[in-house]
Amino acid sequence: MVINSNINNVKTKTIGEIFSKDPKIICRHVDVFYGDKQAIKDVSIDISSREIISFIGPSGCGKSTFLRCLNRMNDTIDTCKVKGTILLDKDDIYDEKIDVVPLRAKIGMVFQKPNPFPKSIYENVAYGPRIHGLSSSKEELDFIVENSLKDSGLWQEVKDRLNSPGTGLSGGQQQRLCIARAIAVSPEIILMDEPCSALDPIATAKIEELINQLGKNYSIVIVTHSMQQAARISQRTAYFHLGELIEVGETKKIFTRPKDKQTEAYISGRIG
Amino acid sequence: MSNEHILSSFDDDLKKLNKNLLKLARLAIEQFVNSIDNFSTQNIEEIDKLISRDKNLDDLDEKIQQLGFEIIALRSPQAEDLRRVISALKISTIFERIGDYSRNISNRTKALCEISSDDTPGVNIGKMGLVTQEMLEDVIIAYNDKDSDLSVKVRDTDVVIDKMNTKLYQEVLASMSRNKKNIVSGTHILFIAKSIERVGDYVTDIAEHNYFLINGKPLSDERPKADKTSLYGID
Amino acid sequence: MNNNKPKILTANEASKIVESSVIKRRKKDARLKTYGRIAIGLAVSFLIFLFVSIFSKGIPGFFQYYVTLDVYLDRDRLDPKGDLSPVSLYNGDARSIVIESLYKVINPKGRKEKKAAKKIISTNADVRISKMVLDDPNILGKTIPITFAVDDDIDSFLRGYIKRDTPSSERRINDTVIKFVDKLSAENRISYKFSDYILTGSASRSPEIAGIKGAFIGSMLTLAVCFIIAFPLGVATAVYLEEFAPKNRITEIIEVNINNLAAVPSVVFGILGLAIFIGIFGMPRSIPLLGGMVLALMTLPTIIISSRAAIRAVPPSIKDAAYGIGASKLQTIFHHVLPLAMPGMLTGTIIGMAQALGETAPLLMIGMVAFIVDIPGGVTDPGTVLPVQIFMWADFAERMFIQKTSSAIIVLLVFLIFMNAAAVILRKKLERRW
Repeated sequence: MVINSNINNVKTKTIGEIFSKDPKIICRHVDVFYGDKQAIKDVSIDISSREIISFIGPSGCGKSTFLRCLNRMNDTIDTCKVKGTILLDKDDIYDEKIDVVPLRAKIGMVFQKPNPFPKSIYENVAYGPRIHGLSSSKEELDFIVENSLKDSGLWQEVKDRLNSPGTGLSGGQQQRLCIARAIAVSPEIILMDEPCSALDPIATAKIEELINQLGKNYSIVIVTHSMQQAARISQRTAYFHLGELIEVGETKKIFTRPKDKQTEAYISGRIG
Repeated sequence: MSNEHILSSFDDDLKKLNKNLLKLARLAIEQFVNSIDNFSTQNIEEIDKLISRDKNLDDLDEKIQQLGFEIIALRSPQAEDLRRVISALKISTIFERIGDYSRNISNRTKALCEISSDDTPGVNIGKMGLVTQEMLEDVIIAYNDKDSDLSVKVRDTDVVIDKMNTKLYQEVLASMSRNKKNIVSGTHILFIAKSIERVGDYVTDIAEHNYFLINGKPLSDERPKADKTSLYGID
Repeated sequence: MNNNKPKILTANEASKIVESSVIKRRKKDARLKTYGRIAIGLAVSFLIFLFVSIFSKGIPGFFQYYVTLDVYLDRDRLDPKGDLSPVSLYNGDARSIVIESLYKVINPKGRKEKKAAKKIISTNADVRISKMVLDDPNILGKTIPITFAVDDDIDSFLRGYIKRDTPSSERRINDTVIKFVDKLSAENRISYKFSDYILTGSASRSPEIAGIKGAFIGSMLTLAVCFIIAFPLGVATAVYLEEFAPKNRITEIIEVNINNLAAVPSVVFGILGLAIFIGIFGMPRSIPLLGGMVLALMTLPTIIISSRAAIRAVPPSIKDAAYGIGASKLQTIFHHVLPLAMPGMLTGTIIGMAQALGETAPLLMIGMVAFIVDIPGGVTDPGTVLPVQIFMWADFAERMFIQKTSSAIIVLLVFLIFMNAAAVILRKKLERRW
């Protein structure tokens, strides 16, 4: 699909800067329905290259739903319908010609609960490259696994037990393993759905640091219940409420002087 | 125990805050030292330059306030980090104030340049300035090295300036009562001395904030006071 | 104080009320516990009764009485053609050689006594000699002691089931035979040994040589066919229903019907097999292939239901992880869902197979009840299965079949226990935490 010149000419209720100079993903007028229920209402937003953007908002505000639209994870839910345009590098990802397999290789995902496969640490990381045929030899695969584990800060901890089960690691390590698994297929974007909600504060801090480091090479979209987490790690923050994107802006601005009353009330703990 | 945060960007922010604060401190010392030098050299050009430079301090303070504001909003600092950020904000304001006093001194020096008077006892201004400068330098070292003893020492030095100020006050009063011509210049000198004394007080405040930052409790001992000028005329 | 007005109890009041109700609750708990114990006790005692009765009858069934005779293996009479071929041996006169050896010991006089003496040795004696000769032709021309099974009536007599003091006319063996048997006993020629026939023999009308080997092999073949058909089909169905089928009315109807099929009496599947496989497709009766197919029909619902449960038990987070990394649906199912569901599916399958192993009714419908002496060599050879064998034996009149029936039940039970143990071990071994 050809990007039309009016892509930045959007009528939206959203307050703040939804546009980006160097957009990786462009979402325009996205609606999501679960059966008859509308979960996302007319969301338009850009996600830049190499930025960390966080989605915050009360439970049920649609932030996770919207996140799952970005790599079509919602396809697995039969009743879910997505309308509007989501462009990845100017290609409509909901185009019928687009196959979700390469799409999801480009857009990695990390989930709320650490979910390593019940296989060895090595196999967990090697799985993605293997099914996508990213390596032609054992050495290449070893290299990818080692690099991914290094990038996820896990290499030092697991290099001597790559063959032990991934499920035997601690929660934080498991989550970092999941991140290693996601980056092993060299994605451009990593979606994270509350990656720290099942972790203790130290493990959380390690993941946050990792996200910060990864933000230099990937676009990271993170959904979080913790406003503090959004504040700590993201460059931009988007506030969702009842399926609508209320406000987007630089995290500094959102957390020091939000423009919208609802945003202010939410981040200052006046509405839940 | 590691001194670094797991989240390195938090460290980056804190370092940035600290760097800016030290920069402001250096600028403030420079302004103060120059204003004292100018008092003796009476170089109008230099004085004007100094006055115009005060804006830099104001801007830097503004930046530090913004930074501290953001750190509190985004990083939710705790314990020592919180004390550091709060102290930094307060100390930054103080340095900005010191800059303001340096400008005041310069303004009055400029006024003095236009009034020629032979009989003004200005010798002690330089000495007071020197002691205050030393205090300023010490307090920055104490801040940088987290030296709680040096902070206490700086605070206790303030008494010296107070005493000098009291002495200078008496001399200027005497000079003004000797010769009515001296009243205008004497008043300026009194205000200059007062400014230096205020800077000394501010340095003491910095020392106290620094002590609080390091130890987590206020420096509560009764501190020596020797500025008796406010008592003049009572007896 | 107005009692009708609702009010909030103080902690003290509340705890008093709770305490008074606690005693009642404890009594109720105790009562429930007692009922449970009684129920378990009853169940266990029934089980013990069952086992004691089966084992007390079945264990002797594994043993039987033998008579040892010195037999002169006359080359010409045993092997008239002289080529040692089975046909030649079959045409030989082994039977009379055995009888003659017997005569030598007991010296019967007159036709009547000779006729009585013939009854002592099992009809299988000549087969045994032929086999020995085939195994080792060097024994021809020699005289060697050979042990033969005694006829089932003699066996029953030796066991004491046929009593000496019963009037001769009411016994199945007459006084002459008893005299001979006594004589053989006196010469220590009668022995009580582990039966040669029970585990290795096949069906026979003569209980002393009847065995379960044919039925056992038949059961194995039938189960193998059943597994090969039912497992892939069941798993595929379960995968389709769980992962691919759209959630609509039709799938709902299919689901309900599968659940209903699990409760359909097994004999119905037999009729189905009879009507379709034999009636329409014209398959031969009595073959393990057909039996396996009918049993597969019967076990399918069980396998589908347990497989679906196993697939559903795979955490969605694992599927999410696979999808999230870009695995296709097929890859997700084959790489993650099936390996994780396999223990559950195998357990369900083994339990279904164990059920099939014990099934009689549907196999009766398709004629696996036929009397087949030959041990089946493949799935298309006629055969029978253990439970049907048990069913048949239980029906026969001969006294010795009662023990044989119990012995066969023991074998079937052991087989079942092995299968269930295999299910448990598989589950324990393959099951992984995630």
